[in-house]
Amino acid sequence: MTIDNVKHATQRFELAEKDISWIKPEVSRFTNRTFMGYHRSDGKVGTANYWIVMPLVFCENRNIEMVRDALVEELGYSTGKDYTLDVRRLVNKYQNGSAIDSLMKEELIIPAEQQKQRQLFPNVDGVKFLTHDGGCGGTRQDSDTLCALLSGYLNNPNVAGGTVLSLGCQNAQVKILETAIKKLNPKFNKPLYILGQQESNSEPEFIADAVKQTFVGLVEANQLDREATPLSELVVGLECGGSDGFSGISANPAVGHFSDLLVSLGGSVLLSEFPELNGVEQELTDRCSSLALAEKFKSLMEAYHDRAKESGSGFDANPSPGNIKDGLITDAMKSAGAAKKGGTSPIVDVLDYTEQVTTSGLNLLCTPGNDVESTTGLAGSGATITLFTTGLGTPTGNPVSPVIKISSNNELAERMHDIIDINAGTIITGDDTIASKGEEILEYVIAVASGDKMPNSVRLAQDDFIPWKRGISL
Amino acid sequence: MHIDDNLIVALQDLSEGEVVALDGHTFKLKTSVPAKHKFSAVNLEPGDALIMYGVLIG
Repeated sequence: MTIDNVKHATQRFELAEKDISWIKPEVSRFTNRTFMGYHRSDGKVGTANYWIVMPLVFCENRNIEMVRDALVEELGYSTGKDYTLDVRRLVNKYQNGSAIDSLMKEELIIPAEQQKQRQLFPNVDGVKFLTHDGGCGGTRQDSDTLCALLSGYLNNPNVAGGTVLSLGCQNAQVKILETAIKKLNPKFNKPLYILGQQESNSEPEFIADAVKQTFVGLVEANQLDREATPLSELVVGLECGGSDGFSGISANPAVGHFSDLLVSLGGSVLLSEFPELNGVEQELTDRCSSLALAEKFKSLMEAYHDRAKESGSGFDANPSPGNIKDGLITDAMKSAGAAKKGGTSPIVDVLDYTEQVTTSGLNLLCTPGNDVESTTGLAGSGATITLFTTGLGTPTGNPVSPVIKISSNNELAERMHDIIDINAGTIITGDDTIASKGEEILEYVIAVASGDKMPNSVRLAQDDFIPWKRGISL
Repeated sequence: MHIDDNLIVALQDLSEGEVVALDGHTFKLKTSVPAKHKFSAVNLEPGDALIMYGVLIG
């Protein structure tokens, strides 16, 4: 079967009251397990403790980078390189009068694993800097959506607090952000420092203020320690990117088994990428726990489909050249495999982009199929860890929700071993079953959530952030 | 992937003319099929429905 003899087609779907009974998997060996999480005052628990620095508008991107350059290495955080050179040792020795040959003998190389010990704030896992192309020049709705997304990031249980750089004249006004935060979480009380450049005396002073405020924020954020937490507090985003013809057979079903395990333990999972659910709407609407949810899902899918058609495209154009070359030749075929990540449990909630997770279990979240936009959306809706399956290999991650990369095939896991965390290709060769791989994923998630293991995307500082722009530029 | 499917996924590269056995059936391949790609379990006419994972996909 090739793109020359096959065309995308899907079956029509109908809503009806359904009887949802679900056979839970065997989870007894996990029921008393815990992870070491950061408890926030609203009761939610993070798998990490990050401070975020973000711009309200793209004009502030360069200033964000100035703040990053000033802080990241100085405070001992990962820059994505495998090592850093501690030139400060040379400086100190020279200032203390060391001779030339003593300077030449000094060890400068600090491998990435040792960097954590140099962290001034050991309980703060990172300071993360977001940049984006929005906040002005588009529709008012785009600015509102951006503010809702940024609010979601501030509200994420992995975030201790934030520094926001505003210019002053942009569409995305500070009060829109403040209103969006209150709407998302009326009890929001994390430290939040908002600075406006057009009110400042000079750019250097503006940046120095941002650096000082952030530093002070970190002093407070560092007071929080990890505590033992039941697995039911985990909210895991499910993502696929660079999928191949094995993704729906190995990695995605293994993630599906993980999803069923976590939901059985009272946890939450988020399935997104709506264009990649086109073709399996019947199964998903049948699993919605109420008719109202099934109707919400149907209307979100139809609205998205209509917008795609208005732009002269359609869901059938979703598969990328890489997808097609490696066997995913229609969007419906891709969707049938993609939906496997969600497992078999009932759908307890359907969220539009930027809406927050509030119900335990399997949630659907409306995002594009594009992996970075979708991963960005999952974190914005509350995912504190993200599982990301790939068959072709994508070097991407997220600044606040640690991304765990799962390979669908052995060849990728070997060739791009620096970005892959778990290999599900052993399911294809028969060395693992879907169930055994699903349990292996759960064990790894517990370790990452506790700060015991660092996924490659976090080590490599793959802090990708792409907000979904649904409007046009004006 | 599912009992209703009329498409079959190749887990490794298969050659034209190769005979493949699955669930008590044998299939002689009319073309080569690279790993990750699919071949049909039955002879198909233009306009026929393709079923994989138990759903219509093309």
